[in-house]
This record gives sequence, structure tokens and C-alpha cells, in this order.
Amino acid sequence: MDNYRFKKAFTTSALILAVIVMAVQCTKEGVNAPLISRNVVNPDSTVYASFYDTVWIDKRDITVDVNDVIMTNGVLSIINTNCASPACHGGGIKPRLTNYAEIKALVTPGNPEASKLYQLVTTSDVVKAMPPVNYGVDLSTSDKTKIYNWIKNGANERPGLVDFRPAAVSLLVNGCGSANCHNQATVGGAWARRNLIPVAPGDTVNFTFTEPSGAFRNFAQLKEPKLSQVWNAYKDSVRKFYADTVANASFRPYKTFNTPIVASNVRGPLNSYDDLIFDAIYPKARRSSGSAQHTNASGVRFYVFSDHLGASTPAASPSNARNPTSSLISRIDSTIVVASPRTKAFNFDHHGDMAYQDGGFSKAEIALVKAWYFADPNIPDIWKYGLDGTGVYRYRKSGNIIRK
Amino acid sequence: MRKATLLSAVLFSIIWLSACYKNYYDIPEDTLNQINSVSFRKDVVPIMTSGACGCHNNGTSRQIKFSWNDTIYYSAIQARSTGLNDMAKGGAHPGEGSIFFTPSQASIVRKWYDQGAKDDFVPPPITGPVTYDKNIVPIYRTDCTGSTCHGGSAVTLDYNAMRADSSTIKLMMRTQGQQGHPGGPFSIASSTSLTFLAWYSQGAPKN
Repeated sequence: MDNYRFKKAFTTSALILAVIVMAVQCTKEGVNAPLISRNVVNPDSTVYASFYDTVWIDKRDITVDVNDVIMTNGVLSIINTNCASPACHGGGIKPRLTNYAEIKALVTPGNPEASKLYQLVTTSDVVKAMPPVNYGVDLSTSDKTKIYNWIKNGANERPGLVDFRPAAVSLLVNGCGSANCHNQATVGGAWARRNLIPVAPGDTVNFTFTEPSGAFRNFAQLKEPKLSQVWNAYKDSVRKFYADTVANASFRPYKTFNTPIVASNVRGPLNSYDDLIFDAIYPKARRSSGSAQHTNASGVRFYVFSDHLGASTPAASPSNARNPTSSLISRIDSTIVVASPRTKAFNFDHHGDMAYQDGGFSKAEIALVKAWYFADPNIPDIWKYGLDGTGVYRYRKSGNIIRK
Repeated sequence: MRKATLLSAVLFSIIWLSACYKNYYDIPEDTLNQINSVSFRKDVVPIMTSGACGCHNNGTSRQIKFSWNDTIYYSAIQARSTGLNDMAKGGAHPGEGSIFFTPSQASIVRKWYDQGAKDDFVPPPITGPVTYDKNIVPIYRTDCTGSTCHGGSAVTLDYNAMRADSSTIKLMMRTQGQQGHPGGPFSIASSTSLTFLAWYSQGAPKN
């Protein structure tokens, strides 16, 4: 009897001990485990992502030229490098991750957080993490962001507008629109100063740039609220001017005073998506100039051309007919030239001068911007393919006209 | 016999259950650091060679160059770690105004700087002769010059100056820029420090 009691007590104790061990051990973490951090906080939506490394854009030249190919480290390459070695998910270990269909099976298009693929590469749970933590390998933030954006944008095999636009707009807005270049803050420059909204010295902030030679250059930029007031009013005015409602223009881009407050520049601001669309529809070469280009019946002088599509007739302003038309795309892509939509005359001024050797865009970035431009429905066909579809862009090398 | 079996079963259960950690690895320190680290080449460099930093890539001669014709000057980017971190914390761009990182970019730059602003590439040891004209001048031009650096607002350094200041420069190179730099601590690439130290050890030849 005593022996039986002993056995019973021993067995009960052992079971209780086992339950306690289970309870403790199954919630116990490794010493360093809580310190691991593999998640990405606020993934940057402007990072371009595609499934394949190489993407030939739709509106490329007949023979693919240097600015027609978007190159990046695509999702397939990221998976290949980090997950799909022959010893792992490129070999016998399931799931295989070697092609689009296999990888997409781990994805919920449009929802990265619900996608197994993104969960595994970003989880800080040491047991679930992929690649396994003990390999000492982890995807970079950049690679994780690409996977996130690719899934978020639909996890398509071929990229489209939704993939091109955030990255292209970011390149232009943050690249071209920065510093004292194509910055809204420089609307205090020569052309914008010709308006009906006076700008006083107190409305600007001045700064000095020191050249490597030691020479100084002085700049001024408008401050808020004057900045938004002047620039938005100018855009509104230009839109109304070209919509033939001059009488309703909030203020007209004609000269009201001559004396510059301080040195500044005459570049067209490219600080927002709206600025880009504005510049595409009303190219700066047509709407801005340092001297009067159009005089109306009442004798009012305007510092824009009367026809932003490049009218061929006005005798009062011969330059209006032959004025070189440069555009956002033609200035960054040296492989194409642009025509005035109305005259259909191609010209070569300024083409590509904001490209590789000046503005810092790489060939792949130029291709990306071009892909966005021709895919974006907010840019009207007239500025892609001409008034009657006869074309406004032509590849220099082949003579091929870009058509719808 | 039965007692022994029972005891074995209990002991086995305890050992088996002990493997049931939620996060059961005790991750080695090196592995942890490796996983948590920001990659200079994969995360920081792409920011500096695109977008808002476009002027530093294939740009005009005014700007410090981060790349040229697809050649990336990694050491030139690394050498500006302090300035980049200042910008990432909301400071002004050293050249001209109105240039900012996006929140995501700023977060990456700050984390990289806080981890020591290191390059994840380990350069091979320097072999063969190192001369001022062939090896030092190109590094000086990419890493050290700029409007707010040497040749701009800071003193211009030439062959004689670098020989005369050898003890200071060697200290800078040995500490990867953390000591000795009159303009304050900054980050020096391993390839740069190895080249300078090899040059001094070879007698600092001109050519």
C-alpha cells in the first residue's frame, strides 16, 4: 500500500513538474531573441520594384537604346540570392521559389502584411524567420521594401503605371525640385516676379553658396505663406490663360515691376506631382520667358507665348512659330527629340541637357521616368502623341515616332 | 524495472520540453549584430546615388561626387556620414537649402550612423607600392574636398602638408576618423585608411 502511494505520489509529482517545465519553457525566449529587429518601419513607397531585373519600356525605340531599359535588383533576384539556393528553396526544400508562379503563391496581391513571403522576411520571431536566423543572413531594408512595394502594387509579373509613378515622381520632385534648382521656392525668380502679387524683401530668405573657387553666389527663395500664394496663383493664371478665359485669370503673367529683389533663377519649379503635370501640359519653353512674347488687343504684354502648342502664324511674334519646344521628357532623354504639336516641326534645342551628365539621372532612371510619362493618363495624349496622333516625340537614332 | 522506465520517461519529457522555447535560440552576438545592422552598400548607397542626391551623381563639377558614369565612390559617401546624419536629424544641407531625406531614408541614415557608419565591404589588404600622385590624390579629391571641406572653407592639403601632418593623419586613419580630425569625428572607409597607412609606412613617396 505504501509502495502504491509512493508510486502515485511520484507519478503525480512528475506530471506536475512536466507541466511546469512545459509552461515555463514554451514561453521562454533566448537571451538575445528579443533584441532582434527584422521589421521595416514605414516602407518607402517611392522605391521602385519590379519582379524581374530588366524591364524594357513600352515606348522604346525600334532597337532598344540606352534609355529604354529599367534596371534594378528585382524581386526574383532578391529571392534567388537569399532563399533559392540549390540546398534550400531552389532545390528540394518546399516551397520552391524559383519563378513567378511559385513566388506569387506566397503572396496576397495588394496586401504585403497578409503575405506569407513578406511576413517571413520581416518577422522578428526567431523560429519563423527566413532566411533562418542562425544563417546570419538577412535581407537588406532596401530588398524588403522592394518586396513590400511589389506586393502592395499588385505583385504583377510586368510593372505598370502603379509601379512607375511613385518612383518617377520622387526622382523628379526630390531630385530636380531640390536645392535652388527646380524649386517652388525660386518662384521669386525673374519670370514669376512679373505678376500682380508684389513680393517684398521680407518675403524671401537669402542664402549664399560658396563655389569651390571661393566665389560667392547669392540666392533668394520665397517663404511661406507668400510662396504658395504666388506659385499657386501663377499656375491658376496660366491654366486660365490657355483655356481662353484670360478675363477670368486670377492674375496675369505680365510684367508689373522691373527691379529684381535679389539674384535668382528662372527655372520651372518641379516640387510636386501637380507641378510635373502642369509642366508637361504647359511646357516652360512655351509659357515662360524673360521678355514679352504676346501682346493682346488692348496692348497688354504677356510673358508667355499666346499658344502653348506652338502656333505657326502670329506675325507679331515670329518667334512663336519657330520657338524651340523643349519638354520635361526631351530634356532628360537625349535619345529623343520633341516637336511643337501644332507645327509638327522637330527641334534639337536643350534635348537631353538635364540628363546623365548634368542632372544626375542614370540611364535606368531616365527609362523609368519615360515609362511613367507615357503611362500616366493625367498627361494628355497631345503631349505624348501630338494633336492628331502624328507624334511629338521621335527617336533620334532610328527616326521612329512614338505613337499611341 | 518499471520505476526505471518511468524515471526515464520523465527525464526524456523534461529534456524534450526544454526545446520548446518561444524563441529558443541564444543568438550569438555577431549574428545578432549582423542581422540588425543597416547595410551601407545595399541600403545607404542607393539613397545617395539617386533622387534628391542626383547632383552628386554625374553632376556638374560644383558638387562632391558620389558616383560618376556608374562608378560609385563608396568612400566619398562614407566620409560624409556626420553631415548625412545631421541632415537626417533635420539639419540643413551643407551646399544649398531645401534638400531633405524622406522619413524612411532619414531613418536608415540615422540607424547606419548610430551603428558606427561602417561599410559592410571588407577591402583586401594593400599590396604593392603606394604613391601620393597615384593613390592619395584621387582619394583626397573624392573623400576630402568640397565647398565646406578641404579646398573650400577648410584648408587645402597637398603633398607637403600631408607629410608634415603625418602623425595627425595617421591617428585619423588608425581610428577610422574618430580621432585627430580638426573638423571633428567622421567616418573613413577601410580602403582609405589602409591606403594612407601603407603610404606612410612606405615613406610617403611622391610618385
